[in-house]
Amino acid sequence: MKYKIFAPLIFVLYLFTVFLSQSVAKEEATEPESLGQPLKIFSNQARPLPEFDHTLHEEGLGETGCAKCHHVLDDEQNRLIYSEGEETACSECHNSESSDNLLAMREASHASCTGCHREMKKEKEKAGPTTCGECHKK
Amino acid sequence: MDVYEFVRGPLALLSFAILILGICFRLASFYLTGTNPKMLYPRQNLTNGFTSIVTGLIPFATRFMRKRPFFTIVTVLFHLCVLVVPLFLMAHIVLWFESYGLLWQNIPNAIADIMTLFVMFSCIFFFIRRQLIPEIKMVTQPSDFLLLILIFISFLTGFLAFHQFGPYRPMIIFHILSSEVLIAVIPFTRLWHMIAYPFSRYYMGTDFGNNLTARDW
Repeated sequence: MKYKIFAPLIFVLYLFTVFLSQSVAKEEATEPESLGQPLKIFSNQARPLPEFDHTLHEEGLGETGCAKCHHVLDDEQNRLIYSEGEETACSECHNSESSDNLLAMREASHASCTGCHREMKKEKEKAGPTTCGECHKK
Repeated sequence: MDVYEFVRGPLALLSFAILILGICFRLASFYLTGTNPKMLYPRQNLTNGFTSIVTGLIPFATRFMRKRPFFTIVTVLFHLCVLVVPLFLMAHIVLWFESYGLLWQNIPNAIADIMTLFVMFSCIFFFIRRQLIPEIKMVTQPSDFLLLILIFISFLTGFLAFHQFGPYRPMIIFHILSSEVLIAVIPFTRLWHMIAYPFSRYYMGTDFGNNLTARDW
């Protein structure tokens, strides 16, 4: 009778692990480098656009150099590559709306900018903001 | 580690873990410590219990609510807002998405603003009501006031952070922290009525429903 408590506990622990493992899998799928499915997550409720300091970002680049952000789509391999001399502004490709194989500007920058800042903070480096309001200043 | 990242990542997981395990613990202890009734009354049936659960959820369906129209309107809207805003605010869903890849529909920010203001108003209303009305005062514990204050702080800091009044970073960290405390104490305070509501309501319904040949009193 007393061991009845274990059944619900184990069930919940199971759900919890499933939940955790799924979240890890999805995190991998939304890495900025991969061409995932476009995600329309923010509807039309735009916040003020963040300011981006290009010079500041150049200074902190490591070995990856410009390839850290700049990429073009290689049609043959169907993946993103860095091609020197072909660096363009993000908004050349990333529009305000998502389409097949192409993230909208806001989704791409949420993944790339904050994603990179978060990674750097994990490695205890000095990094840009990760909170909402430090980019979207009112 | 960065304070915001810590509060937002591991601490959030901790509060959810406490919530889920706490609910399991309390439900299990209810189940294990409860005893079957020694005597079965033939007039007790399932209908009264379930009727009581349903009528308790519909505004103005019970005499208790009809006698207090203003309180009923405030409390129904309060419960609606206090659940909808945290679950369906756009900024929260963005965090769910970026942390766990979960995604669902959001509500417009303007509506969320109004709902937040209403939650803050009703917190003050409940706070005063607990001190003014004698029968409510009798069943009030200190933790009830603490909970109201916590909910008020959580929504106020969220509101201020969204509109970026005052220092943003401490505000958002305080907002997340206070909300995590709220989530973690759900199983151990009066907030337990989130889970226990149907059980207690069912119990009262079966016990009193037929005796008074009435629906809910």
